[in-house]
Amino acid sequence: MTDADLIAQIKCGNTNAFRFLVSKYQRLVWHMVLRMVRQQEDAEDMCQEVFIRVFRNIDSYRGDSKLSTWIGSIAYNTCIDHIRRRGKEKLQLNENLEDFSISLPSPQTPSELLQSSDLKRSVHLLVDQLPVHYRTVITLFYLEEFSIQEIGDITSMQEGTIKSYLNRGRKLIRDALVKQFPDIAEERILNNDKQLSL
Amino acid sequence: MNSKSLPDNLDQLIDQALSAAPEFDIPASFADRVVARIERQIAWRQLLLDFGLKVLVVVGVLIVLGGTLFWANMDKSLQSIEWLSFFTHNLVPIGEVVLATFFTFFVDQVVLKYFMHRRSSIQL
Repeated sequence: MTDADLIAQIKCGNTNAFRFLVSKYQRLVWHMVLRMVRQQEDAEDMCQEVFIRVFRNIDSYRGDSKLSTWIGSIAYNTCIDHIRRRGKEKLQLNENLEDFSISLPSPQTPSELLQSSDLKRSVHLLVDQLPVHYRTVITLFYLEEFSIQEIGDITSMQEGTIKSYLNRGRKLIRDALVKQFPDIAEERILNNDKQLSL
Repeated sequence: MNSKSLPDNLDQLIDQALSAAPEFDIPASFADRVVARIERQIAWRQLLLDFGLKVLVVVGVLIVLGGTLFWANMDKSLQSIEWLSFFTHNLVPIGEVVLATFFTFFVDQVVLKYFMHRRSSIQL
C-alpha cells in the first residue's frame, strides 16, 4: 500500500489504515522524541500526542512532501512545544558553542571505547549532551537519513544553519572523544604515517 | 595497545555510531494504544455532537411552543398572561429544575455512554 492510498483510507475514517501508518512511522517518531525530549518516562505520551496530531491534521496533508517529512515536522513541533512548556532548556537557534563542551560521564579505557558497541554508546551519550537543535539535526540526518532539504522542511531551518549544526555537532563529539582518549588520535596519526610510508 | 584494532578513521567510526539506532524498545501494543485513544476521542466528540443536536431540538420546540402561545395571547398585556406570570414568579426553582434535567441527561447521554465505550474498548 502506498502512502497516498494509506492517507486516502485514513481520510475515509479507516482506523486500521491509521494503525498501519503508526506501525510504519513509529520508529521515526520515537527516535525524534527520545533525542529531543530525552525523558524516557514521557516518551510514550509524547509519541501518542504526535500521532493524534497527525490524525487530526490528516486533511491538511496535500502530498506536496513525503509523508515521513510531514510526520517528522509534526513530531518536531510537538517536541519543541513540550520543551518550551517545560522551560528547562533554552531554545536559541544560534547557540554560541565556543565555551560549550561535552564529555563522557564515566571513565572508559580506549580499548573499551574501540569496541563498536561501546563507541556507539559513548557517541550516543555525547549526542544527548548537545543542545536540542544539534541533537535534532544529527538524528534526522544520520539516523533517519533525511536530506538537508528535507530537514529544512521539517524544522524550518535554513540549509546553511543545518550544515553548520551538523559540522559543529560532529566536531564537538570528535573533540570530546579525542580529549578523553588522546591515544586514539596519536595512534591514528601513526597508522596514517605507516600507510603513507608503505 | 594493538594497533590492528585501532580505527583507521575516527570520523568514519563516529559516522557509523551516529547512524546506529539507540537501544530502546517500542512497546508492542503502541499502535493499538494510539488507535484506541483516537477512537475514544472520536466517540467523545460524537456523543457531544449528538447531545448538542438533541438539546437544540428541545430548545427549538420550546421556542416554537412559547412563540405560539405568546402569539395567541398577543391582545392581552404581559402581566395578565397566566402561564407567563407563573414563569416570571418562579424563575429560581424553574431554573434549578432545568439545570438538574440538563445535567441528568448530559450524564446519561454523554458521560455514561462514553465510559461504557471506553470500558468496552479497553476489554477488547
